[in-house]
Amino acid sequence: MKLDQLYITISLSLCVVLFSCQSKEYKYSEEILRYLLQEHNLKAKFLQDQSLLILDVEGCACSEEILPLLLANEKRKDNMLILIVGNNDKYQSNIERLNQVYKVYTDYSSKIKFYSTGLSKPLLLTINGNKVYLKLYVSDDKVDELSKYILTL
Amino acid sequence: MKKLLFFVLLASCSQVDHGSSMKSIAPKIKNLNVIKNINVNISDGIPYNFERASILSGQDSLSLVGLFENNLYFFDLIKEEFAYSIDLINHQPTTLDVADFYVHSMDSIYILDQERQIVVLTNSQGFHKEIYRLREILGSIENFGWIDCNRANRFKYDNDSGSFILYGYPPLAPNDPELYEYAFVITIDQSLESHDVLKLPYPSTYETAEGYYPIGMYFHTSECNEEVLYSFPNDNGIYKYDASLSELRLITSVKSNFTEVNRVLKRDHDYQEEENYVNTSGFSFKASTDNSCNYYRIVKHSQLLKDSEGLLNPYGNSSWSIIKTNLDKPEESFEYQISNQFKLSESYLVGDNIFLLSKEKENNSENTEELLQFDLVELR
Repeated sequence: MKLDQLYITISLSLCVVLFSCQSKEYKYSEEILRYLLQEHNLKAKFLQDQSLLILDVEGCACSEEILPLLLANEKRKDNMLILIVGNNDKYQSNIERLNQVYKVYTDYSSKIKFYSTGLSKPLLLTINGNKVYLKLYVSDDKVDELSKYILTL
Repeated sequence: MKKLLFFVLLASCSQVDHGSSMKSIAPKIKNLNVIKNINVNISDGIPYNFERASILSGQDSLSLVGLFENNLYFFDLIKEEFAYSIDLINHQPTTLDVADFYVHSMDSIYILDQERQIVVLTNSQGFHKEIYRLREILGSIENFGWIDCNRANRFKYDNDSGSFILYGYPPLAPNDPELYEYAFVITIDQSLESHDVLKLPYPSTYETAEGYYPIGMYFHTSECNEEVLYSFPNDNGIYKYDASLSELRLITSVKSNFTEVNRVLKRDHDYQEEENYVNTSGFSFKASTDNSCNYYRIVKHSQLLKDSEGLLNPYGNSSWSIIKTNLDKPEESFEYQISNQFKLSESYLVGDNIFLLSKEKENNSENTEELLQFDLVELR
């Protein structure tokens, strides 16, 4: 195999790998964007290359495991939005520290539950304009994966 | 002759009813009468939203017992006052996290722990009188998975037989088709020396096309003339269990005017699809019988997925009703529409034709915060 043929083969393989790793468009994209606009005045056109972590801190005890890893970061993450749904004392007492690192939005009365957003466990999405992609359902065994992802931002 | 035999066989077959072939009775719609408003002052930090609650009614007494964070709160509904509370944790010789309770009398309360392995009998001060360890018995039951005790399917103590009655399921995932082959009714003698296991089959209406499954695996039990009656959330029938044939025998079928049951969900659904399904579907929430063998069914109505503003209609926004069926004359069935200010999950049969309905519903704007409010209603 000639060298240029080898490059083409490697490039094509990389493309396949990259495409297979790319997140899938989220099934409930439309409702997520409608919720962000109606309840938080966040317009899709201003949400370019943003990551959105949605945490139901009242309904799911699993969110408490995520708090320490969020607090472990000190470097400002301007492209990371955290949406806190419901009331939780631990999150409330750390809200100032979270605000220093992330863009934090709160939904204390859990209005998100009036939208079909697929929220149950903590949910990590990436948003690029009007496209929303599912990055990760943060189940107990995926907390480390979330931690690593935040470090890359 | 062959033709005659064929028709005889056909006729006899048509009498074997498995639930789906009997025409459902449509109950007549009626209004209920409010007998009394009950208001209990709870301004001094007493909870109002219980994990689950029970009613204890006597000739001149009516009490509500509510569970909240491992404490039981007792309310005298005749005097309309909070009576006292007991801490179920501090006075126990064993670690106990309460899953459910059964109030036999004010001084004999059976507590089932979260692991569903221990029953503790406590007195009115919360001190234990007996501990019953069920682990070995439950572990010996073939293909048994876990004990359920939701708000509509509570753990019971039967005083006549001196037994605990528990409801359970095989060790299968909710979307496993084999889960709907049977459920368990487990009766354990208080001496822990004997137990009975009934494998309760589901009605034939629960058989769905491949790739779909019926929601509502739990079942309702109640008694009429010492016979146990069964019904299911996703089926209109009222059944008895025929031990000789090991199958359910349909007594009657009564269909709400406001809901469609027997709806199914795709087996590979996600969380949101299930949530939407439960919000929009109608189903029978629980059932009970009074001393005159009237059968009462609490029915959640079907509703639209979204309201006029395009927002999801949550489960609690649905209207609901109580269907009353005279089991001797099922054609005399009535459906009472309940105002949306009452909480479906906190409705209690307290006497023949009498229900206690809670007004402690999140979106009930008429509910006063410092009061625990109920209406005593009559279904005539």
